Amino acid sequence: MTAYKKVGRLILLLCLVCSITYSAFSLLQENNRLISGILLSVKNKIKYCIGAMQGVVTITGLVLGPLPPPSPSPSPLPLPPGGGGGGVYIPPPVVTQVNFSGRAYPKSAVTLLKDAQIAATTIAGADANFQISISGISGGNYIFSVYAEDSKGIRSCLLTFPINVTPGVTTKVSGIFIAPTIAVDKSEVKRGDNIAIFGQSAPNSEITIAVNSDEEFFAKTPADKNGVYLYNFDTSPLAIEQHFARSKSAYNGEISSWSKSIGFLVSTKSIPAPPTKCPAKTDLNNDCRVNLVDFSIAAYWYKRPLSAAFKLIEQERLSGDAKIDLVDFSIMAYYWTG
Amino acid sequence: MIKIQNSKQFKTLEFRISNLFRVSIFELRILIVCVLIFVFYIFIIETVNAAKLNFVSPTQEFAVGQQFQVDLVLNTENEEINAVEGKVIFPGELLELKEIRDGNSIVNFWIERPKIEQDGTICFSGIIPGGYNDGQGLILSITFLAKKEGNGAIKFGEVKALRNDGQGTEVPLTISNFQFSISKEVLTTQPPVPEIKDLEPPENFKPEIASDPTIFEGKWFLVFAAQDKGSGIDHYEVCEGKRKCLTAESPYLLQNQSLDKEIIVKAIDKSGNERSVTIPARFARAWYKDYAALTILIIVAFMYLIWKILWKKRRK
Repeated sequence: MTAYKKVGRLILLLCLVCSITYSAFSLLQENNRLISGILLSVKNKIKYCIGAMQGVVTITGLVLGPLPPPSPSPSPLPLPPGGGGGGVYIPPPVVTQVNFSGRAYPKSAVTLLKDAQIAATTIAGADANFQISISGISGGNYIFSVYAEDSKGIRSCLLTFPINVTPGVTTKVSGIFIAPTIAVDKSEVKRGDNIAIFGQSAPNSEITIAVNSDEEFFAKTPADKNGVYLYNFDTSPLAIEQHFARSKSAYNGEISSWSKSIGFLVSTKSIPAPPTKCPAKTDLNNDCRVNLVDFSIAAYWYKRPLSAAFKLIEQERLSGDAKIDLVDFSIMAYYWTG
Repeated sequence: MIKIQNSKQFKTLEFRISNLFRVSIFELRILIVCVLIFVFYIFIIETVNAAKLNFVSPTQEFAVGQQFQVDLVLNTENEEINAVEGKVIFPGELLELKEIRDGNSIVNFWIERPKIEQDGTICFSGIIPGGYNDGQGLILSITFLAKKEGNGAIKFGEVKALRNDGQGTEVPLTISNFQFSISKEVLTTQPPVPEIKDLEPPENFKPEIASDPTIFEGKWFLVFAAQDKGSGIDHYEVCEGKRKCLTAESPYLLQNQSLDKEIIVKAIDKSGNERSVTIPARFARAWYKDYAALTILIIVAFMYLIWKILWKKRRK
């Protein structure tokens, strides 16, 4: 065997040994990250395929959450006046405050949640701009969320900001752009007919609508001076199965996050569906809200065998697996209104 | 027959490739295996974008008798996560649990508030409505006492994180156990357990009275949840009218189903600070149930009767 061949063989063997060693090392070091990650990927892919075969395609969105919020800009308290001259300096009272400002829909009700409970509400202006403040809170880590209700009472998805509040400091969060609301006029549409996709956003903004299928279809439509948009989507290119639509808004170079997804079925007949302002799921007590009461009802049944009556509710409004576990609470957290 | 033919074709292909690159078939096979491992790594493993749940502590070396704090921190790695649960398992022969702090946690509502379940296991389960997407999410802090010399690990068990997608999809999670060593003396300076001087009462909160046919047989119950950014909530107490205040958990079945008395809900944190919220009576009490007024009425009527009898006697 020539020296060249020997060296080549040695290099190949070395590559093989390094690859196997690194794989084994990672497996041991990272405590099943690879295995759990692979298993989960495979599990989710299998779920996706089963769902596709059943006519339900699950969207795993590109960006489900909010855009990263602008950095809060704390404005510290003024310094005491320097110099002499006598007199007593009375420092201003310590105020801990958080101010939120941004864009919703014209004259819409904007709600601010602090740690998932309603802290303040306001009405946006005719230009859709809003400002909302909360004060008298302690320092610490908070999860603030905002959402808006459009002229039909339909709520947007939650836009969430984790903020570390410093005592005595006013924190400002600006540049918020709440995602549009979205609704459809049919729960089921005959293939080839149009389905109206509509909602509300900032006035004169540009709305991008995405309808998923094997390929995703995009359409753009302008919102009018009241922020209302309407797009008649031709369902001809869609397969006969469940589809989901969502929208986002662009205005003056700013882009909102994606809205909630709304589902509709493409089939051989059309069934109109009036838009409902109540959450599609997890409203266990039928008060059109998803809040601590619904959480407490679900918590009562956590790790308990379900009654016959509650099984029906769980089937209709939660995960439908006949038990209350973390998955049901996660679904509830998604539809949360406070 | 087909298999044999395919096998022959494959061998022919191998032979051709090995001739093309001037390597032996054995070397070619090694190369193919290396490439496959590489592809496996890059395209399959790397697409697993895992959130991370870690134990965070300034040091991993402790002295016997020392108290130290370990934080559970979630890094969502650009995933939006709205539910998390798991267990923390620690060696009871080496460590003694002193305190669990959940004040300042990103978890807004605990399904199972962090507590010691059996020797060496702490369970926790909770949700973050709206989702959380950041790199330094504190779940909870645990204070341990190092009991005796030895090496050990604080481990995670049955940990799960779910995505904020309306379907409860599980997120791949990377977990790292916390290796530690306890010795008689430690040369490096040990940071003390941060002392929380919590003088603030819990945040203001709004209890609600509700009823639902599926729980408590449709009777009125009370729901409440407060936050405390200092030491964390220790317990709640509910006082209905003049009844004795009772330690309560949400949902709490009200004893007074008439709802004609005010209800006071107290949130008490681990430093003993208290926040009380009063819910006024929802329904007016029936006049015959106002015992105080009734007693006064009876006394007045009785006194009037006595006065009338004495007046008549005096007139006679």
